[in-house]
Amino acid sequence: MPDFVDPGPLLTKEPDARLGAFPQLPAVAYIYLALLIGIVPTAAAAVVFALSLRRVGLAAATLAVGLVGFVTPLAPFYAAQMMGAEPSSALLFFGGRLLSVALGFALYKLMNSHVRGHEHLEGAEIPLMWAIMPAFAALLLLPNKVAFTLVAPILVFLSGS
Amino acid sequence: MDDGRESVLSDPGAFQRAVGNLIDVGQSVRAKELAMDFIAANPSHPSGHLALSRILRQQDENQAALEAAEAAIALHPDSEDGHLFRAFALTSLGRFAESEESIRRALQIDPNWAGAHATYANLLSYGDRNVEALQRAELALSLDPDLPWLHTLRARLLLYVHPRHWTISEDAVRTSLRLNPQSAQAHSILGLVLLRGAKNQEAEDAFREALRLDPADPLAIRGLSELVKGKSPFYRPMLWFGQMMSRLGQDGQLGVLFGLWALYETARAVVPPGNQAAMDLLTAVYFGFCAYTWFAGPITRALLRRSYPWLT
Repeated sequence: MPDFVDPGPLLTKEPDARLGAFPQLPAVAYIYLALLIGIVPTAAAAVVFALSLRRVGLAAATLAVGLVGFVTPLAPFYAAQMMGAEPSSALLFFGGRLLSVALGFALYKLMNSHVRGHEHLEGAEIPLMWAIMPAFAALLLLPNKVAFTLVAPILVFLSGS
Repeated sequence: MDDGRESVLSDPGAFQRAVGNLIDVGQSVRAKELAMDFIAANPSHPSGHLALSRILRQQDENQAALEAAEAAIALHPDSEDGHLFRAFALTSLGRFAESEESIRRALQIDPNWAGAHATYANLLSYGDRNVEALQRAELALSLDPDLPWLHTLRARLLLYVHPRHWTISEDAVRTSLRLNPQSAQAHSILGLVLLRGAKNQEAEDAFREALRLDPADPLAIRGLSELVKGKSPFYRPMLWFGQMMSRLGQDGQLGVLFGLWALYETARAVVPPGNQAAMDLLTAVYFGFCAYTWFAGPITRALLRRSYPWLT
């Protein structure tokens, strides 16, 4: 017998599988969508999918990620100010996208086990491409101002236009 | 005939064999009738409830299967079979934490039961706990090295845990095939392992053998689809990229994808503001690469759909 130490129960935090009311997005799609169209619309989608799974707590957590995502575009400005640096718009944009991807990863972690449970009960999944293609098209085809509003709505809101 | 039925109903061992035989030949309705008769004749014996749980689970009536397993446990609380059957039903219902608890109870009763450790490994792999599942599978194999499906499970888990060392997986799945050459699942896992090792022709043979044994094997259909698409020059670089990425494992893949993105964003940030041509070239190369990795599959599938309608 190999050296084996029983680590104890490992699945106590694994949620019971629940079948969603409609097909679910693959969890990894939340990372891609956060990168492509920003964290706020991605979190809004996650809230809808969480509610379709009848998970109010999950919906609240994804909503919280969306709210954090709403204010994070300000973080690179404050970081630049605190470091006494002259903010470069490209670097600020990069910082904002990086935070957006990090929050997309948080959505992935929140949704992953629930999506897995939905699949376990033979619930349908939306192909990744169907999620990415419209987001990719939006990124390339939408006017810059609209795309910027999706990615950093708070900046548009604060600038008043 | 009635005498035979009577002797089956009075002998739990003969009853279990009869139910097993009926299930094996697809006579689950008759097996269920026999189990109900056994329960009526022996209401305080757990075997009837256990058999009923097994039959109901096969018929996808998982809630009823759970109740039957719990009835068996109520009659015989130390029945390791009862706890394991309860775990099977709970897993099918997606109640993973309770299922784990039930398997652990079965293992408390019999710590050296390879089948229960193997079931635990399978459950952990559902929950994406692949490292722990692999340890459990190896423990089960140390207790009973002759379970072919467990070697296949180990091979699959090794692919997740040690994505670069696919040859260990190949050894595991070949052991499984030595024990049971007729397992479609083992052939399709062999195909997957060989695909990872870029042994495309051997992988194709393995997938075709899996499909000969089980024409609906989803893994074999997916693997063969990749290889058929890879014969198109448009998709070949994507097949190579996919194989390279699969050897990196999940963390490595995320590292490559976000490393490339960070590189692109950094390059954009350092390009002087007036140099629009360089900016456009960077964007075209990066988004062209992204678009290719995302859309090469669907485009190739659309191109080949007429010749290969089964492509996934």
